[in-house]
Amino acid sequence: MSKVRWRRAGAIYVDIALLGVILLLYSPRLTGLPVHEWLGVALGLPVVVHLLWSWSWIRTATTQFIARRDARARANYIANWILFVLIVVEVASGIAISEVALPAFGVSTINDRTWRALHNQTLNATLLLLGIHAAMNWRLLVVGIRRYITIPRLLGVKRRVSTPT
Amino acid sequence: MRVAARVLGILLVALAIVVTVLLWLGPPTLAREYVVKSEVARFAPTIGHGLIQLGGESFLLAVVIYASRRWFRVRL
Repeated sequence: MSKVRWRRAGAIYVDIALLGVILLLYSPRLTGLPVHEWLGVALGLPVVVHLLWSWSWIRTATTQFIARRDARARANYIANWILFVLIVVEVASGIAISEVALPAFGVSTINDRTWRALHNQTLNATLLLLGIHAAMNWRLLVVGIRRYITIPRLLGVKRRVSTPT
Repeated sequence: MRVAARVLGILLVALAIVVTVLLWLGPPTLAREYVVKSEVARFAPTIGHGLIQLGGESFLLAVVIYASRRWFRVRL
């Protein structure tokens, strides 16, 4: 597998893992609070990898945003920034009111009502922006999955080759 | 080295966001404490409730993606 192909496949796997982790974070009744908190802390890693793998896009989009080229691309750029801010706020407020993760390091926390409300209210906006982010990049995601995910091929599903955008 | 610089950049932006929120709300205080017996016990995992919650959240996300693409023409 060439380096470019390996990177693109890796990016798709990281995206799928990221989506899985986020959905698990939205289900504390399934994971329980300790796993919820540790998953939240661990979320930083796939987010950073996702951003690093999208770095060329970030650079180009920033340049285009400043140059005011395309309204749709600008909206996508702003939506991505809002999503990043929401995820950071979500994780930070979660850590601030954590009952397991921070106390495990010997740091005592207070279950503050305001931080708790911020944590709970940011959830809905994050889900909305996450959906918009996925919708915006849907074609790239589908093409990537068809090209690089091996499970459908193992199941005998024929791979459809299409030109990436 | 380039990757390290990018990671540092991401972390600095994240730190700036956290500091902004911290200045806005102030650090957690006992005066605003939410009194509950045990959050860990309250969120004790159960397969039934858990799967319903996971399914519900996944469905909600799918609805947002579908509505965005189908009705609001959210695409690049």
